[in-house]
Amino acid sequence: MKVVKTVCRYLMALLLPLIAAQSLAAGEPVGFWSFQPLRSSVPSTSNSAWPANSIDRFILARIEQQRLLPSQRATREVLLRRVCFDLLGLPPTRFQRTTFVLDRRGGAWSRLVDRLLSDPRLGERWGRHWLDVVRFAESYGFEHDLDNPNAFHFRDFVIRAFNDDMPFDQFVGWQLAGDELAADDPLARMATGFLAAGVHNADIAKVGVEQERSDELDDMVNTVGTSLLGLSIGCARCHDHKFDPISQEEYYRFVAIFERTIRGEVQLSTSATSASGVQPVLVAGEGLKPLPRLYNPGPAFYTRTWFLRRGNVKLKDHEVRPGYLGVLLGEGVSEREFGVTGDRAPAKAEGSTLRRSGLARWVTDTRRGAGVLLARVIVNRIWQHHFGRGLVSTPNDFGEQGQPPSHPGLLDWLSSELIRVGWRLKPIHRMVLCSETYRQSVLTADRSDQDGSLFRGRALRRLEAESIRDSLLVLGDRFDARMFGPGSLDSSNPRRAVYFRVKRSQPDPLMALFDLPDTLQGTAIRSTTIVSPQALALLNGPLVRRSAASFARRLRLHRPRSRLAVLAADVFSEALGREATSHELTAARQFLDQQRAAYANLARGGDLERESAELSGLVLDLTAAGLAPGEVSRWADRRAERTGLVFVPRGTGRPRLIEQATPSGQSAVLFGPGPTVLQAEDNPRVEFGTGDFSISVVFRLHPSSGGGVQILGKDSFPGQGTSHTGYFFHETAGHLRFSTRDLKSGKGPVNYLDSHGTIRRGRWHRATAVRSGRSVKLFLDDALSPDRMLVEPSPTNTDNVVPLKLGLIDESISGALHGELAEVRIYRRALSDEQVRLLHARQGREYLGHEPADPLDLALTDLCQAIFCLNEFFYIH
Amino acid sequence: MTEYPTAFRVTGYGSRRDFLSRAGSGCGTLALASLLAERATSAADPRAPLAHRSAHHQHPATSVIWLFMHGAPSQVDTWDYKPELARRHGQTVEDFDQSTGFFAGAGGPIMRSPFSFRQYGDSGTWCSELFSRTAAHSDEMAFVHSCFAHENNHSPAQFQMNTGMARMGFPCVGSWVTYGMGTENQNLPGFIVMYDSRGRGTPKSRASAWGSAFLPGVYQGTPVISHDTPIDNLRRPGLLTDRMQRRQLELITRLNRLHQSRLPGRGELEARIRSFELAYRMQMAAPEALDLSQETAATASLYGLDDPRCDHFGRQALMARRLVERGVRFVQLYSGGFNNDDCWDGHSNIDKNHRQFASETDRPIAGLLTDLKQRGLLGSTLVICCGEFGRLPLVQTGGTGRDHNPLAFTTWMAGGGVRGGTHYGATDEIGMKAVENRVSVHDLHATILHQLGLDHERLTFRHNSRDIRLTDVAGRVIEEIVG
Repeated sequence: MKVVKTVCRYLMALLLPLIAAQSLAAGEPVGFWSFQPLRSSVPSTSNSAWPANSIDRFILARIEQQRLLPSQRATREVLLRRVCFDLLGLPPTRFQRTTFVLDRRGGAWSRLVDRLLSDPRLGERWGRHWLDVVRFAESYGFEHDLDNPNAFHFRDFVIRAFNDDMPFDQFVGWQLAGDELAADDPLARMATGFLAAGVHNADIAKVGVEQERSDELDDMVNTVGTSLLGLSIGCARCHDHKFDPISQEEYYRFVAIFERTIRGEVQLSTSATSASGVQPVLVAGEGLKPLPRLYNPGPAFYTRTWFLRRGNVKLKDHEVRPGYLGVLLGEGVSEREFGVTGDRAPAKAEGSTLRRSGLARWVTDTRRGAGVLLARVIVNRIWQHHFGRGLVSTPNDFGEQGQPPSHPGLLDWLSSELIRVGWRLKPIHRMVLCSETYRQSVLTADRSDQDGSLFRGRALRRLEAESIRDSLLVLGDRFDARMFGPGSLDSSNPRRAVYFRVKRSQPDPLMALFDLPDTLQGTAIRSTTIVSPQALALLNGPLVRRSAASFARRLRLHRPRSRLAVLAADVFSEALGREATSHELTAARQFLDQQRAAYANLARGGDLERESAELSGLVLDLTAAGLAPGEVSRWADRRAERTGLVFVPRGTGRPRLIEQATPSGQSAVLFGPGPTVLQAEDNPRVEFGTGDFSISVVFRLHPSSGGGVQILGKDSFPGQGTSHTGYFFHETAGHLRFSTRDLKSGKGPVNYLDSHGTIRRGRWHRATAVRSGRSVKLFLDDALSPDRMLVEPSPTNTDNVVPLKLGLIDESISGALHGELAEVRIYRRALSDEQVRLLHARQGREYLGHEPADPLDLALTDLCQAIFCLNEFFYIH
Repeated sequence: MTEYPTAFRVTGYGSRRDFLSRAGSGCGTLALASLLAERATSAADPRAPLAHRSAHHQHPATSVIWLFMHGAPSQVDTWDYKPELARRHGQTVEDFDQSTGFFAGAGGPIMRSPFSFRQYGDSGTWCSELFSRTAAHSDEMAFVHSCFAHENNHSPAQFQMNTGMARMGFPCVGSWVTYGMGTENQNLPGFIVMYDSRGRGTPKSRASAWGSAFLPGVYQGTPVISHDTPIDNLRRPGLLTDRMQRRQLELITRLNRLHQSRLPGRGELEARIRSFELAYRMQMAAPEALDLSQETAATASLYGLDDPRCDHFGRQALMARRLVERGVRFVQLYSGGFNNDDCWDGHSNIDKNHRQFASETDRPIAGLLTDLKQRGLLGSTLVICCGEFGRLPLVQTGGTGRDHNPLAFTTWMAGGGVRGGTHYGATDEIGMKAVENRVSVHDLHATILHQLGLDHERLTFRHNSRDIRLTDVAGRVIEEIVG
């Protein structure tokens, strides 16, 4: 049956153009639908009770045509969650929940909508939609991807404009020509960041300058076309547009509008957004000092615009003058009516040709210019983000290659409304949100219409990357609500995701996993992929885990003495915005119980296991406890009588015992500031042969320690026999490095691992390196799984007669330890990951005074994290 | 399916336009059922975007290992032997266009190759001493001597070599291939990139070198550095043991099933439940795939792991084999790092620069070819080796190096159904410019796709209203070197 249906659809596709051609012959207006004037009349429906407003009548009329019924209204919990994510991109707060769910008076929904529409979070959410469309980023792209540190002002302008409900025609005009239309308003100039946000090649050869400028202009024209008019003007760069009425000549006339527009920085007052005072801001305009390149191979722009055959800068055909698209020019209207366009006359205002302000007038003029299309495109985007699908399902393409509107009358009606209310978007949002159409519940797949174009029932929608991350931060109580200002590249920064600095070569990994849009060209519809690395990020990623832990902590603080069932119920209501069912509660309670027991067991078992496991295979066990105060002239293994391992000073430096050195009050041995070395006496070997081994050390670098210091190790031995490989622990550039080195041939390979985690001076650290077979792992502090792993090319022979040294290993190079050691252990076996975790936990308790974690906290963290992974958390009903 | 943009359709597989064009040419004999079935199996489904998909035609290759000699090796010092250079050493080339190289005006007289050449194999392939070990495989290799690029600077030329376009913003070959074919092993990424593991930095085109641009992010390359962890987030957090995490996963699945029962028939919910199971398996599979300790000492030595000059690249080449063996579709390796002196970009001293980078790669590459062959993987693995452009046969003034040359370079391929021992195209007598049977980057791409069973004219993606191809509006399969 499916095949037959599909065949029918193909046949329809074949026939439709014929039908269309026929109706044209019957005297209908000629031309493509999106270029037509607005036409709409609100249809009547047989069910007159359901529609709350005109939107509903348009939608219901088509549903009734299909002999179907709209879906029933969703519950208040569902609606609240839906509208909060939709308008603010955040889950509802407890306060919002009680205010709305308990508000039983009439008009509660409309009051909620009003509250949300005036919330400043709105701009951050809806501004981000716009930033997608205009390929916003804060770096140059290309090889060097240099930063544009002052590009964020455009993002701030967008957020501000959405919050203030700036009329959309003004919003557009300022982005195209804020410098010409309102030169004195800093916001207007920030708005031109729209033109400046594209890529910019900083490293081009002399021969590439013209091509680069041509690409830059193409980027501007293309972005204007897709974002404002839903037209792929850029397709006419090399030939007339294959489908839409845009000639190649018109493309180059459009290019000429931007002929002298370049990007640069100006000093502006930024009191409207972030800090008051004057700051450099990235803008576009004429007469600016161009943005720097690595070196300067040629001009930033050319003063003539050519028609380029096949788009090739070498094939100049004839010069062109600025102009607009003929198809969007009212009948009998001259381009001159929009102000200066073709004038080659020298600068009028501040050295500007005023071509872009002409463009702004043409784009927004609903009678003589492109304003009607502009309105259609933006109301469609509003609809798209409220419903997950536009009335035109190709929001960046209102041309022949795009899809026609599912509800042409509704699209036109909304466009007229937008124009009628003075291009303000909030009234349109309000109309949409207060419709019954918006408030329908999700239909199961078999009952919904196949492609969703009836808007019958609600689509299930996955959260965007930003909302995923922001929700985790909000629930985890780690949310920094500050608005505006420079962004950050730090994945752990607690501000909203819209304040990430958008560096083209460096998207945040978690965000990128959840389909962050490409920043090279505008994106109308984000993809929503489902891949396993997303699940890995949720199960194992640091941000999710940290948020789960702080969410758990918050819940326990809120109800200090709760039973498991109460805690479990809180997790559901806070994270999912609804009460848990009894099934769910049972499952969650059971889980909490089991995980708590497992954690408790782990701690208990850990103690037992430690006794045996920690001691087996132990060949060196040094601890500062028991040493006499003062100079240390002998540091013996705890079981020296058996192992015979004793360390004595070498050279003139003497280590000293420091009492109460660690946070828990344990002693430690201080090395430095001058070179201080302790060496195993009588050259006893800590032999491993080619076998496995583990080395663990508890240490601290002195606050004034230099960089690159050695901590402990065994030098490699270039002498006879097969015993030659050495190993080191040392600090390098803030990380711990463990290296093995083979100097047999005089310059053997050095293999090393650098910790992910950083070493801070003045801070105690626990580090363990484990070699098993040919793989080496490094653990630092609470990174309770291996920090890094390396595979050595060949089995390492560490049966090495060179003595083990503490403080300075290779005396031929500088970098003596200035810091303290509290414990050193060496095992002639590979500790398992689990055993290293236990070892570090014991060291944490013993030296750093760590409290053992409460098993219930840990179990609750696991539960919170599980809830963060649920489909219900990711899909909005 | 409401949620998904139409963008996911691999058009060309019986897309509407395709259907109409075929139907227009006489639809009486159309096997509609099979056409529609083909379409059904071939659409990339966002719920399982990496699922294996059927090809356009029969094909020998199922995977690719691409060896990218970053910075651009000199063709006349490696695979394009020009005895004329020694004869005309020191002479100026009268009509040389000084804007050819990157440093305008720095093109000096002709410079002979400092390396000795000899012939290898039954094919009599000339090669310099730099790649003597690799050249021993020349009877398995097909050489294209007449490649040219459009750009004379690294990053745009790398964009072009990787994406077909000299600008940023287009998907690279590995992304197109995984988009078109999916991947065999769902427990590993389908497209993996390894760049310099000696800390010398990324390729000059940075992450764009493996970016998927407007293709969904799932087709983006996963960068792996040899001593690093293979994939993000593979390690369990906190104190969670395997059993405890398993229990957590069971809870997630159980709650997800309860949720799903309220919304039957929603494929994305099911797909997401399965993605968690897969993720759990990936935790085991990925470290295993990159664990070289499972290899014998003989294999390690084959790749030069015992030689400190090349052990880093050798490890990556060996990992590439292990990945391909496990069903990874596309692996790309970069030789050399970011800066000129840290890669093949021999501006100042070609002898020193190329000796160093050849010593880093010759043994690993030869080892890879030997190993693939002895394991029976060479037939199904297409090995490609190229730079982003070539180098001038002239000396760059002020030193003994050579400047960039987009007019000519050599690319070789081996395995994956290419005809071994063939030489296609030629440069002029000093190796300055490709003159005979010139081959564009689009042609190379068309050929690569062809060997994988993909028709470069039918592998398209609808983006901002255009059906975009890897080969733009060009490309010709180099039939002369395949089959």
